[in-house]
Amino acid sequence: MSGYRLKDSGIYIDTAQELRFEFDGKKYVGYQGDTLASALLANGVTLFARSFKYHRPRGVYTAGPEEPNALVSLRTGDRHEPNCHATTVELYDGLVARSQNAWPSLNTDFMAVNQFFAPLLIAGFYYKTFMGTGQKFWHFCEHFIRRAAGMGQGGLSADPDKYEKTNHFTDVFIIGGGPAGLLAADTLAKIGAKITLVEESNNWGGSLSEEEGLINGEPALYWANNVVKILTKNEKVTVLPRTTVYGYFDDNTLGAIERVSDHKQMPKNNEPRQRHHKIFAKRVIIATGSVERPIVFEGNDIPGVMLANSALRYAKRYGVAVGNKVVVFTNNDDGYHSAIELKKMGVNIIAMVDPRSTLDPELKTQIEEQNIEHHPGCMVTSAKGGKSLNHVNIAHFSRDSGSSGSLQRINADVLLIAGGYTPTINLCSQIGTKADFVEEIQSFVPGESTQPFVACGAAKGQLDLESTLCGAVEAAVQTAKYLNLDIDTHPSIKVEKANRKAIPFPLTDIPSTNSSAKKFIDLQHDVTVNDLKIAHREGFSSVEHLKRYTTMGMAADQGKTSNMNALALIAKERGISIPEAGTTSFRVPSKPVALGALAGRDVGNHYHALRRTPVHEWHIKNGAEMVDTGGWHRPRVYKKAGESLFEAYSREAKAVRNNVGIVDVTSLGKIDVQGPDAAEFLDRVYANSFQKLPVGKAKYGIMLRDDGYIFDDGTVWRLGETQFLMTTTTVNAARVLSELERLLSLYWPELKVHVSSQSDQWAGMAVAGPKSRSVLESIITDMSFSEEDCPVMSVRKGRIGKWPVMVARLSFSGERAYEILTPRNYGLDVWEAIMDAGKPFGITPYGTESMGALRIEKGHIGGPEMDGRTTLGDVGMERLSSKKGSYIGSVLKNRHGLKSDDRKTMVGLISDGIKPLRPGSVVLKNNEIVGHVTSATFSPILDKNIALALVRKGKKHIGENLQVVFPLKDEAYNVRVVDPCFYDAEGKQLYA
Amino acid sequence: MPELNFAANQLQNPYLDLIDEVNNNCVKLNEVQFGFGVLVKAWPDSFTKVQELLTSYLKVQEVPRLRNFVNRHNIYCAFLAPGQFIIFGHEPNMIEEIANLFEADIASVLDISHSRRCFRLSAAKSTLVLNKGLPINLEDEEFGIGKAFQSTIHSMGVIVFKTGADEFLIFTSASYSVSFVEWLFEASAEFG
Repeated sequence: MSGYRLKDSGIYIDTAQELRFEFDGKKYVGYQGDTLASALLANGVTLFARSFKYHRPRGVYTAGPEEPNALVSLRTGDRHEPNCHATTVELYDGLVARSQNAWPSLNTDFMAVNQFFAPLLIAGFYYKTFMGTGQKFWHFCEHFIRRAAGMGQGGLSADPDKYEKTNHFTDVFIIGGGPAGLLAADTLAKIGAKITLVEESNNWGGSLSEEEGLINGEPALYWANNVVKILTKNEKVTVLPRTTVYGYFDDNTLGAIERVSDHKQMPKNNEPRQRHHKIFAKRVIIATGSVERPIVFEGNDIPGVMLANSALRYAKRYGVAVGNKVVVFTNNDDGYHSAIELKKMGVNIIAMVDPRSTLDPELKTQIEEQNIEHHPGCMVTSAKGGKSLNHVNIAHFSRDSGSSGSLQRINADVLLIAGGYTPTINLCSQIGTKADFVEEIQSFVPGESTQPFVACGAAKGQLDLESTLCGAVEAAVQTAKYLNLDIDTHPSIKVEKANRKAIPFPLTDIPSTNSSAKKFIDLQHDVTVNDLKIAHREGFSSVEHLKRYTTMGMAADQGKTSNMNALALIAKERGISIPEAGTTSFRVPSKPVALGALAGRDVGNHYHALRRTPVHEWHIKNGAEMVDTGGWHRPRVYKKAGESLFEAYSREAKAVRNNVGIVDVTSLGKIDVQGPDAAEFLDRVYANSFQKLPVGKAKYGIMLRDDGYIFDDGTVWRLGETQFLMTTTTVNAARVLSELERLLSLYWPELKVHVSSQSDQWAGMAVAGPKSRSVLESIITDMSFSEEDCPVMSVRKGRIGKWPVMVARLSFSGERAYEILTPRNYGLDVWEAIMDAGKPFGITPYGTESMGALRIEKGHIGGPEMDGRTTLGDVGMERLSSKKGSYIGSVLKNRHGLKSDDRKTMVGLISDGIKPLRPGSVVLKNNEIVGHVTSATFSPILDKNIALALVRKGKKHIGENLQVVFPLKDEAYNVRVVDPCFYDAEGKQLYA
Repeated sequence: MPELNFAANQLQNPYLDLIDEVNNNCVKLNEVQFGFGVLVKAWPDSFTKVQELLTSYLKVQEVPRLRNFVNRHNIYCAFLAPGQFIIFGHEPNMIEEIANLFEADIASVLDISHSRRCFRLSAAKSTLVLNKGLPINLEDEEFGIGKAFQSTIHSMGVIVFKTGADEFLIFTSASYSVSFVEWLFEASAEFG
């Protein structure tokens, strides 16, 4: 096969604009408007790729996205992208492309030795060749198979390009910019419908570029261009070229990828590379056209064998002749159209081979006029060659036996195959529309719609221009009625001299005289006729089993050029009809989608939105190292110059124990619970009771799940007779609120209670340490800090200057402490005021790291102790549970398994090691696993590494020495089991 | 209720520079400062009473229908969810007035003045920018002036009022306000 440029041809190319590009390190020249494939063909390139399994040489097969062979890698460095169809890549200046699946080169591929092992690589070879002999052999071979498998190399570095996502709303969504899609759009646009029209390529008109007919007296493509001009000027029409619809989902929602700048060397500033459209349509028109079908014979994958209509496209669109000596093998009249038009353009068509004995006289006259040798009643039995086609063998065709007579050799460098057309029904199939078989075209078309869509044109099996356009009008009329728009039911469209309809002569596969010869059904996955026959013999008769066992139709092309032939072969093997054999379902995506397009801008810093407290900027300015906790940005430590993490949090924790510290606790969940039944509601959701909590008091509360395990904990402040403020952990805030709303909506609608998030209304800070009272007394007015007026767990209101504050005397650290809440917008001012007031007392801001150390020293539970597997008894809080009434979890918390003596219960561990223990470490007694570490820290007070752990029959081990191991890091320490409260068990520091 | 003072501290609004960078002929963004925000939630058996009281207080002919808002003398009242009205205005003392309208067995009243930040997004591309994150049809036929809804943009809860052709008031949770402006800034980037 040696292609070349035709003179003065190519409607899509601009020969005045030369483009330089590279393929496998070699430089070439193409033109603006070329695809990579057309430019390479024009430069005489024959070999494009190596096949998936056998590494057979492969050339380009088609001219569109259905291409099974010519997959290439584009670009270099971080922008490298594998598995791009050379047939759809728009050429640009500086394009760099490389072949795939070949080493060391495309021309000399060592892995081609696989062809010699072909008998070992048949359908199901993983099981038969490698797994059947035992696990060890399989594991040995698996390593090499994985190295050899796959198509293309993925990149390891981050994709530097931008991707966008958008939501798109339209009344009518028309998929396909060919004749059917354009006419439907034009018809509906004229009656004022809001339309979105998408086309996969950057050119409009689809098959009209090869159509000789006239539409309303104009050449077909001329008509198409005029329609596009009118549509683009219509304000109610959105026209999206270079947009591929990859998925059709429920409720008429679709996904599409718009290739915004893929055709450029680099996107312009702020230009996305691709844009993901989520489309919400009232009505969909599917005009996705059809794909020419191959015929299966020996050697049908040799470079130089390709589809006839594709060759015509290369000539018409890009001015490329695909070869010097071309044979056409067709089972329908459309093959003649391709051959005659190619000949007229100067391509050397030397022979037509047709299994049908009789031919339409008009066609016969035309091929005679073009001096094309005609072989009626014949078929191609084999194609021969290596890296390119050398010759084809043909023989007379008998309906009964499949072949007879001696072979005749025809030397050729290109064999074009025209086996009919297969409607593209992928999107219809994705939403569960069953396919109906049409005998005339030997193919499936969409059946009854399950959603508001209609298919038309070639996608519906309307394969000639007149029926395509009539189908488009009908689709437009149906759509208009659905949308209650008035429409003239007979828009004027006149078609003349159109191409003939392709009615294929049924031809499944051509028998071969060579039993070991390869006849490929699925080119992209290297699945042969023999593979299908073997699978059937082994009992994989159902089309679903056969597909998965052979991987037929499971490559990236989803079998666009192979499915129909495979179904025909399966039916033949089973002795049933094609519709009886059935079809498989097409899955989303119908074309590969870049992960970047699905992620959009939700990457890097925008992977998820971050919540900030009002003191955020102050933290940054004052050296805080921030950490992401439950979606909030919180300070972890405030490192001073030269400090390590360990030194910083130890210093902060000591400052709290000895002096005073302040921590930003704005992130804690806050929920307003209001209504006449608020107290009753809280009694039902917490394990402990709140009915008798006085106004102005707070209480610790713990919530259980329905199944009796701990859900979350926090404090409840009674602000009024019918108003409470609940606090939750940062991480569970949304979950708790959601659960409360669920309970009120579904289980207790009779309760007059409203719950509302107040997490953003209040800024919160905890001031903790022996000097905390002194600091706050110096600035907070309108309240007294005496023990009588402000006892532990009291809630009071005051002011710092002009800013109102709520003060609750609560402690998480075990020291005297106060939680200050102020309306959020005053948060920074209040924080700064407290810092100013605290300077004489040596106030120290502290972060989550030291906060964790302080609470572990006190044995207070946190998230790791409430991981969904612990009960009140496990963490020593059984005494908190109310004895009266029932609450969420009250029944199931008493089931046998949750009351067992053998359960893990919480203890403290003191380590002899110099390194901190790790959460998740295993606790061993005499080499037997008895528990695990939940939280660990270095205790500045004890000057030791300590931990909280859950250990089977924990209390019984107090005083014993156990071992803690972390096998992943090969660490092991001796630990002593102690009470989980390491510090101030009597609680005296609360009054310090 | 003390007067709100947004400009009290330079560190409060770190996104002000970003807002300036967003503004051009295609997209305009401003922060809108309200004096108060309040959430009124009726009980199922008191909804009619709540409607009457609000109608009288706001001096409107009727309170807005579901997913709509009314603007009377720069007091915005939206009916966002069954039984729930959200009200934003400029006079902080109105919170107390509104709270006094309703006994505890008629409705709950919650001060949310500090929990939301409000931005006005306008100009030609504002709908396109918002639709990058909002799965809501913002075209006039479906979402005309006076409409309101709750949704999410990039997992951030937002309340949106359509106040004009290509003009929206967007209320975000205060803690998300910086992330929201950053998102908006990047979403607008391709429009200049």
